[in-house]
Amino acid sequence: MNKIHIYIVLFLLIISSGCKPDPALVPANLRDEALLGKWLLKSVNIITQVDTNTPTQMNYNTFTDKDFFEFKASNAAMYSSTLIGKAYEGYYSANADLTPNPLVFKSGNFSATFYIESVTPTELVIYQTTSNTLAGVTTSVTNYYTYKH
Amino acid sequence: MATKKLIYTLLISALPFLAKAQLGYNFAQYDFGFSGAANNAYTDAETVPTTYAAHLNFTYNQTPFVNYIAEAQFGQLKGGDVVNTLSGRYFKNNYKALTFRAQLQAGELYDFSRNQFYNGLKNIYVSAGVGVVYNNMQEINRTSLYIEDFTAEGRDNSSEVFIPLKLGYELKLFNAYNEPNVKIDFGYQLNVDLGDQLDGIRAGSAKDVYSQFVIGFKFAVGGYTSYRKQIHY
Repeated sequence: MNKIHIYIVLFLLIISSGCKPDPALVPANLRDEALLGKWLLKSVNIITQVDTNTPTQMNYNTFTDKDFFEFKASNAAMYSSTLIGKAYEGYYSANADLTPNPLVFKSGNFSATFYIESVTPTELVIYQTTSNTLAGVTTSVTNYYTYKH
Repeated sequence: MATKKLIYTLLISALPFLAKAQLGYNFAQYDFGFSGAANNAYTDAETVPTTYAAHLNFTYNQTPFVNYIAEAQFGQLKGGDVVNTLSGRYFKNNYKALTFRAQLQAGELYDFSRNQFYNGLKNIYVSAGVGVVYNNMQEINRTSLYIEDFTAEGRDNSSEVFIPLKLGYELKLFNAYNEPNVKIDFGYQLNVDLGDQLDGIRAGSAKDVYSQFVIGFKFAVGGYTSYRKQIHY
């Protein structure tokens, strides 16, 4: 009688230990510990380059505490913009394997892709670039966003 | 001299008393059966819905309580959710599997004939063996909707070896000759995959597993022989 009890207990132990999904961990290369925390937008510098002409610059620095990025653990993130008039809760990805280092934020149908120019304990600079060619004239616009804690 | 002859004659006459006669505790050595199973796959996908499978099996009964079972499984495994999980992992696997298991029932290990309680427990069994599963993904998503580049690799079609472990109860129904000719099987089977492709997704640290609640019927199909002790109560 004892033998069958031992077999049954062993089986129950094996069976109970196996029944759970493997946790879906976000790969470490998609996280950036240096980004964690709330970053307030302080300035936007727009550089426009038409062909090989000298670039022109415009700078904006009238932002509120509703213009921010907040990065949390497990890739959760929040993006708020007074220009859009909305705050989004979603997830970020910063693929460290790619150069330049992208910063992609997604929330439902909303998605925004930036590239990280620099990140220090107090300052985060990210940028977006668009390029357009019309009648043989190429215009590139790069927006640099400077955030601070 | 006459006394010696008498002793020899008595001893020889007594020999038949030592012989073991046919006890009449007969059972069929071969069973054919079918069963249905409710599956849950514990894989790299984040949710675990229940799906179903059908089994066909052939059993060789070495004794009524020591059995060797060859089984074919046809079913579906499913898991995950593209929209409602962070990883977005989702799969629907129409699989086939072949298994071979040895099964030991409690009745083989102790004498249950004089105790009604033990008699009730004689059909409890443990079983283990080896199997191979043929995975065929009908639907698969390996990429997160929410986190850019959060994706996994994997194969749409694969075959993998697994270890089936089963705990159950085989209720024996007896015919007019007290032979167990129909068996109703209730069991819980854990299939420990030695690979990681039940879900078509290669991720994480643990191997894939699928569990099954099984209800089945087996029917004696011949090869009658006798057992050393009483099978019925």
